[in-house]
Amino acid sequence: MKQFSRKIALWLTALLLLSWLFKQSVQIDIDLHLRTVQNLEIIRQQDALLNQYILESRYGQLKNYDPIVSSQQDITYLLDTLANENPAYFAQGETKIQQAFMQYRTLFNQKNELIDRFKSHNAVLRNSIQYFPTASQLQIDQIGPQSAHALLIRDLRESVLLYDYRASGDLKNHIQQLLNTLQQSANPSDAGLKSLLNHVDIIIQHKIEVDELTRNITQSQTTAQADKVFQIYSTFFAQREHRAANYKLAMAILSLLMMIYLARTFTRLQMTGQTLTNSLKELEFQKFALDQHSIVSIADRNGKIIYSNDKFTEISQYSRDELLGKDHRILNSGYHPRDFFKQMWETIEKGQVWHGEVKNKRKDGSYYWVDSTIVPLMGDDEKPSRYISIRTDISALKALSEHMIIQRAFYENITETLGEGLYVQDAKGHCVYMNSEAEKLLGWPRQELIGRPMHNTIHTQTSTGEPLPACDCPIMNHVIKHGKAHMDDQVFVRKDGSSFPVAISSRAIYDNNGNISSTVVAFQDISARKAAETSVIHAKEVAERANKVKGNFLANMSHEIRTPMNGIIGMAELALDSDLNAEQREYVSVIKSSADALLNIINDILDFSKIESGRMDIESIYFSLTQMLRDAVKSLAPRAHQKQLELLLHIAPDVPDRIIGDPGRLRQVILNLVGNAIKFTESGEIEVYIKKVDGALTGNAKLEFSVRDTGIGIPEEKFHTIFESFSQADTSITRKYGGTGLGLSISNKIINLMGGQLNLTSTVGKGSTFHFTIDVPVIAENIPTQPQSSMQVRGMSVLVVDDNLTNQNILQEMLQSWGMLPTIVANGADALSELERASAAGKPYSLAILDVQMPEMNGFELVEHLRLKPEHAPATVMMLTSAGQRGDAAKCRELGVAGYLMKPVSQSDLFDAMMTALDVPSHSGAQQNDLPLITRHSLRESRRKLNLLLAEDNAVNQTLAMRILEKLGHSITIANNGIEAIQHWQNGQFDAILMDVDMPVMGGFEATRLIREQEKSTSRHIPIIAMTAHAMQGAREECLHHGMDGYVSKPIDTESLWRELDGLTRHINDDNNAPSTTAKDTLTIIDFGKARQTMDNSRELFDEIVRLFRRDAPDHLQRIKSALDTNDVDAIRHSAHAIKGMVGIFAAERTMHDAEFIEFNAGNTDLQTAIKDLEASLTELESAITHYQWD
Amino acid sequence: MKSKLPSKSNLILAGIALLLAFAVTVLIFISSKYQHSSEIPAYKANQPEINFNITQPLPQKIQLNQDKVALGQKLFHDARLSKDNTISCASCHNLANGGSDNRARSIGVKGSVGTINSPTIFNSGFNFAQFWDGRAATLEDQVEGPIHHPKEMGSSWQQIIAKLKTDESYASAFNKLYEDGINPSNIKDAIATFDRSLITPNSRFDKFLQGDKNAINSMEKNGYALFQSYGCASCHQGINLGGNMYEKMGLMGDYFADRGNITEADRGRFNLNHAPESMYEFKVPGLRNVELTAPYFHDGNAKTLEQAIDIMAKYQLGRTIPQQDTEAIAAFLRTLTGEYQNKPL
Repeated sequence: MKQFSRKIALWLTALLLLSWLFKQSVQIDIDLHLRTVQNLEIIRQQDALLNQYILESRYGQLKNYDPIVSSQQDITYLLDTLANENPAYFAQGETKIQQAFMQYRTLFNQKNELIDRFKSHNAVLRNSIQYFPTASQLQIDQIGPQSAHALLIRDLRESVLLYDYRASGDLKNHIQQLLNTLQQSANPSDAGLKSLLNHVDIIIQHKIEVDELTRNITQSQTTAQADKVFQIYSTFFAQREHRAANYKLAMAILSLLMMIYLARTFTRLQMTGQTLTNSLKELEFQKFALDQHSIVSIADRNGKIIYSNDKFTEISQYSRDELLGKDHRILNSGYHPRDFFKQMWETIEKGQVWHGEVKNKRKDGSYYWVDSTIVPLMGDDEKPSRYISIRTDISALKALSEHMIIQRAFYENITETLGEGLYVQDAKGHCVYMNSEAEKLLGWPRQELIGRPMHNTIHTQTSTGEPLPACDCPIMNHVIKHGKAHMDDQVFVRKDGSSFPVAISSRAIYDNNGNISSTVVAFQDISARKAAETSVIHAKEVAERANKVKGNFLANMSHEIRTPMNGIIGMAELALDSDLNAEQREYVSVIKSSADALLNIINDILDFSKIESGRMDIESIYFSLTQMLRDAVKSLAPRAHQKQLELLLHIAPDVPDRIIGDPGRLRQVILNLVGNAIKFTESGEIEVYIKKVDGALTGNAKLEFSVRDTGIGIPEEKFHTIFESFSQADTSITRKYGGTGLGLSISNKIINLMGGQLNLTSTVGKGSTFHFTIDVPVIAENIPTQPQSSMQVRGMSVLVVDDNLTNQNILQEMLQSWGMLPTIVANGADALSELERASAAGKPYSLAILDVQMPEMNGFELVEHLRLKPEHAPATVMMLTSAGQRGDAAKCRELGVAGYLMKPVSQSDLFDAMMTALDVPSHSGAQQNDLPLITRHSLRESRRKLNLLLAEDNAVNQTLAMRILEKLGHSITIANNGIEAIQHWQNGQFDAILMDVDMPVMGGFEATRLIREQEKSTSRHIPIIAMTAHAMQGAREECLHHGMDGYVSKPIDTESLWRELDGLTRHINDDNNAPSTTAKDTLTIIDFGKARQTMDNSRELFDEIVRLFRRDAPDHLQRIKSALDTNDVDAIRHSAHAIKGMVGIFAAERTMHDAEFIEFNAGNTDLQTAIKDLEASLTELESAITHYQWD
Repeated sequence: MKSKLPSKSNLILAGIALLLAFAVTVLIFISSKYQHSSEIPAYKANQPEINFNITQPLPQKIQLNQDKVALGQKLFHDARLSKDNTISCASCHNLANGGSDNRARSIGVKGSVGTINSPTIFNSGFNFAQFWDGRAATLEDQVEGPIHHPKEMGSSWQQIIAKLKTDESYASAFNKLYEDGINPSNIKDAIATFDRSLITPNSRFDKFLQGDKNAINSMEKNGYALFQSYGCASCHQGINLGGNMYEKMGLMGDYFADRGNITEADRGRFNLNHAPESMYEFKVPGLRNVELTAPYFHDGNAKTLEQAIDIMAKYQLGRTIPQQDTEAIAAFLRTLTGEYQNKPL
């Protein structure tokens, strides 16, 4: 207000100032000024006229005084007018102009007086001048013209007139003289004279006066004064004008300022108005928004409601009218104490904002909660004038929070009931929650632990008591990685420092960003459990021991049973091989077959028991699938041929050869299946077919094995039962066909253990097919050793003559796989005609492969026919027979047959025989008889003959072994026990030792150990093959572990023995080139070509092998070194053997050589150099591998 | 923001104040303009043209506000201007008598005798001052004399105005002519305006001056010549044949000594300025209609024109004029009688 009234005062002042300025500025009345100037000018003019008139009057030109009067009147009037119109200048006053004007008036008055006098004197003078001549003439006439007086008078007259014209002092004197004269001499009574003289006097006097008056009048200062007045007036006026102009300017400026101010005010008003409008709009909007959300009420300073919005009425159920004018007390729910409101009032009365949650009561008595903010609006008197309350309905929130409290209690209850310790830690690992059980278990009260870092408080050590830093905490690390953790190998520490083992289950809780916000850990004190575990372990150990005992028993039993069995069977075989009469033969045959059968049963039972006790394990070793199958099938070939059955082995070309698995068990299964097939097939064929199927894992091959027969078949309903133990399809079968019935069940179990499933398809009367599919890791994925030399036979045409369809297919497949061009005929007649045709066409066959057992014309007959027509005969003829007869070889030689092979013939066998057969120069040259006959035997026989030491205590076995070995062409020396063995060995030069394990005095292992020990000093390593009846799992390993090189099980399997020996001879051959003398420089570090070929150029495989090598080779090397310190010969040998094996695949001859040396000389004390050599070559090898660029 | 907007009442007050200030400004603006009258000054009505001759004929008519003239006439003839309502201006300045009362001394209120010969009212506008001693510069001023003179009208403005105000006709007339109604200034103005209107043109002499050679006879012409040659025309000159200068009575002889009974009135202008040279100085009277205004001189000493002429010649000219010359001059003087309102006086 003050400001406003000040403003008003200011404005009033400004306006008054403006008007005053205006007044000042218009003081200049131009008209007045002009009039004044004019009047002044007129005055000057009239004044000048006056002078003029006076002069004219004086000299008789102006004959009346009216003009003079007029001028006087005009001047007087104008002077009065000036004074009246312009009193500031011309009225009486002290100013310069006024003084000047007054001066003028004074002068003018003076002048007027002079004029008055002039008028009267002038008139008199004029009259006298006019009369004087007449008067003087009269006088002259009167006194006589001639009288002296007349002269004087004349003189006087002239003088006076002259004087009138121009007054001068002389003249005056002269006149005076004359006067005097005349007066003296004159008659006193002469009136005329007196009158005359009087006139002269008058003239003289008046003239002076008049002249003086005239002079004074005309020279009056009035003109000058008038000028002065005019000047001063002009100056004054100019000043006034100037001043007025200044005032005008000031006024203009002031007006302008006022204008500007007005404009500014106006603009500001506008803007304010606009702002106001905008603000109001904004306010309206905000208020509206507020009203939408909040409960708003405004109360006056006494708390009476003066405004409430819709929401308020809504929630309180009071209408607006019911609310206005009331106090908020009508909403009082009674929930809050008096103090609550008292404090609220105190706060807001002070002018402060109050926040709070208030429970209010609706009109109908129900309650609601609001979150309230009260803002006091301060008035001019520094006290609140109004209160605005803004509230939001939080009833729901309150209910929710109450519910949450209940929920929390609920969950807490749960955690309390758990029976497990539970704690929650935040992202930093600080405890935020604990249940009572945790308290109890940890010995920490809740309050003390909450906020503390859990790990560093309770999980400070490992189960072995070593400190466990938080970063290594396995629980947290696992949780961080996987979101949860379960482990039972951790240990918590109680408050008192004691620790206890815990099983923990932990889970992470994530926040919205996916970061762990907290972790829940539930834990149990598993001390009891651990104790239980320990006892369990202990029990397990006891059980294991028991099991082991059982196993040993089984093994022992197995051994005990086998040994005599071995004797029976072996001897029976030997007997059968010798000359027997028919009757003896018959008896011995029965003995043999019985023994065989018994052995089978025993094997089955043992296997079965193994399976039942879960002790059957499947080995994982490299082996040649082809070889195994060939051996297996071949071993059953006699039986098949006996029954005139074709036994066919069909391996698909893409089936890998070198695989990892258990050859023994697989062989067992094959034997079982094929045996069964043979047993239950009367006529036809049995085909063992292996093919590769899709779906193998990387590095594996999925192989499907099927044994197909054309036997009696199995009815479908019996499918299940045959797999069950001790059952056959038909109990009658047992009687007819024999067999324990365990075979299939065992086979099935074995297949299962290999990861496959034995399946059966069969048609009664048609035949059966048993098949299974197993996934096996492979070494090389290519076809079993594609012989390089297959180039030689590429494109060669070959005639196959075989009546058996399956065989035809097999042969065709094989021949085609070598790039040859087979033509198949089914009988001899067709063969002959085909040969004719071919030679006639100019494309004779280079090779013919003939089956022996053919109807109508058998193989030999066919050959005889060929001999008759040598022009058609192919260059080379080979014969395949199902049953090997004595004398067949001679017959072949006779007939010039280049090759004679027993069916089933393996690919490699056939190939080898073929190559050998083809290499021989054509029949046109040498004597056919001289052709060396390539048989399996000869193949075998081409191997070296060995000098063997046999250590065997059992006489039967001795004999048996001796006979077998001699048959093989080796020479045998017998030792009865280990000591004899050593003695013999020491004295003799043996290529290898066949060491029975169980011998009295000194067992095989002991003897081997001693031999190896003694070998340490030398650089020799004699191959020792164990012979053992222990057929249990791990027997082989055990043998190897004891320093043996090979292992055959008893009863001695000729095949396996031969195999082992075969392997050995090759080895020995190499061995005899003493490793130490071999020029090491010629040994390759690594043959990548070979290695890659072996690995079928598989980069993955190569890398994997390298990885394994890099992992295991240093390990083994280290073991060798440490074993050297501990003198653990077996360990040295074992690791050296391992190194040798693993680098073999790289064809790393040097490393292999060094490893082998250590292996053979493991018993030697001085291995330092050898180890250094090995290390060096390993390093070289490693370097070579590292630097090898694959591409 | 603590300041409040002004209340409604405050705003209204402010508005009024501003309005007033504005009004004041405007008023000041208006009032600062000086209103000057553009009327012709009164004296100018009777101002003769510039003429270098002895005299000139009277104008036929002069520019005057006729309403004022009528009012003035009424006032002139209104005896209420005198104390006892017996004497009006016309009592002494009788228009039917040539504008005077043919008495050496006039009779005022209560029959009191005046002190000096009433001069003629006719053509008094052409005199350069009023009264024998010229103490009234204007006819307006002259009104003051008789009004207040105890031996003449012996009244006061107060009385007069009071009397006049009662007269409805005066009130309306005055209100019509004057904004401020009946007041001395306006009364004087009205009477003076009437006085100025009393011109008597068309005398035979004027006609003669205007070119009518036969307007006056030869004797009168001769008289006019003698009037000039003797020097009468030295003083009795101008449009009114006098009235424009002061002269001593008794230039060539002591008139008053010879006459005797010197009164205060005889002192003439000496009564005004007490200057020795002003003793016996009087305004030279105008000679128009002189034939009608006997007795002559301030004291009414000359009963006839001829007497007046002789006295004048003796004391003013210092000569004795032969009779025939006197008669001629007298004849001439008689030709100066004009017409008032086209009626010969």
